[in-house]
Amino acid sequence: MVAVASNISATDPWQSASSSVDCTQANLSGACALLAILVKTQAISQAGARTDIELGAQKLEELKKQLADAIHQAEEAADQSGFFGFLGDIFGSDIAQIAGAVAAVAATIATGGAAAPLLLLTISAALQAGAKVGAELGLDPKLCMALSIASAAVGLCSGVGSVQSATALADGARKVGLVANVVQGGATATGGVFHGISGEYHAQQLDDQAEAVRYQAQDVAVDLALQDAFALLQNALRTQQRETSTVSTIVQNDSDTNTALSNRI
Amino acid sequence: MTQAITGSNSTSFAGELATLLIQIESNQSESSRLTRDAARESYLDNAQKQVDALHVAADATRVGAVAAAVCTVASGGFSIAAASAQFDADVGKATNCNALQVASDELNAKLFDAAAKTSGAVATPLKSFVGDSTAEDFQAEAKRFETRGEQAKWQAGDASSSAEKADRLGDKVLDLLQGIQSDANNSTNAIIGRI
Repeated sequence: MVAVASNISATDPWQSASSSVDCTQANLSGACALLAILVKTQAISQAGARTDIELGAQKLEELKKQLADAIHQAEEAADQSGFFGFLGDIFGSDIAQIAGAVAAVAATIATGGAAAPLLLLTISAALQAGAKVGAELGLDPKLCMALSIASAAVGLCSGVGSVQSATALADGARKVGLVANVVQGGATATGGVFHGISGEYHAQQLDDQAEAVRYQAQDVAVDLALQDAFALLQNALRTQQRETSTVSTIVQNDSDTNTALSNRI
Repeated sequence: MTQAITGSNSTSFAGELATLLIQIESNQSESSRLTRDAARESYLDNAQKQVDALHVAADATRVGAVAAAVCTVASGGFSIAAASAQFDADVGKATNCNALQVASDELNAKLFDAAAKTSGAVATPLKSFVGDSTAEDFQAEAKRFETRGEQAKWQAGDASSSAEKADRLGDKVLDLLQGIQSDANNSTNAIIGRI
């Protein structure tokens, strides 16, 4: 390139200077045109990246709301599950057991025949003693209370029995036993229903947790895409700066070359 | 005949070297990006599997709870039926009613009582077998997918860092190449001025 330039200047300095200027102008306009194309391309990339960032930010916000909702629903479902489980335990366990105990006592009285009043007194005393000893030994207070109530009820029945006939007492005991058995069955069934509702809420809690995991994964994916868009934007800006710098250097170099040639001519 | 090493040759050599380096860094960056994309796909895939496993666990819990509830309600119903039949039998015995009817009531009471005890005893194991154990299996499965997803996320993060590093190195090489070109241009201009 250097040799070619020296040959041209040796043969026809004016013509060579003219053609060199034309060539420089061509290079300059070519470089500028190239710069324009490159800058346009980078501007398109930047605009795309900016749009991606805006959309990603909006989506991220929506996902965070959905994630918070899912977590809130899971917490509510857990609370409901605990509440219905508690009710199920009360009906299916405590009430059913007390009713079962009453039914058992009633059945004993009903089948006791003529010895029923004596049997009632014995049972009442035994229940009362059991409640006292149980309380001292740290038995469940609910059970102690149930024993005391049963003792009082049985004692009352024994008083009634002293004035009524044994047959009437047996009839009453049978009715009490029937009611107690019905209550026990109903409490068991109600407890089962409440436990079923509790299980349904627990399943709903797991579903909500699954949805929360889904939203979290989407959140991570959108966050990564957002990072990509930022990197793309940063890269486009850097590339644009470099391209501008490069073309500027080319133009500067052409200018320097022209100056050098002009000085030389 | 010897050939002098000219400025354009050295520029060309530097350019070729820079091009090679940029190509290497570009390949490295592309490879890291592919690794990152694969890791992200793996993360999303594992997250989806975790979600599916949790839904299956929820369904199993629901089925177990419903089955147990049905058994318990049936047990309560049978208990009531047994008590009613037993009451009829007792009243019949006390009032000296038809012996056949009393026997029938007693048989019914025993049958209902047996059914109540059976369905009540079946409820808890059924809930454990159909619901809880299956749900726990799938929850463990979900946990495994969660762990895999976390690993994939770490891999994606490492690959992203590697790609950024390669990009930065490529930028440095480009800056270096620009400097070399600028020096070469200055030299050429100086030579032109000297000629």
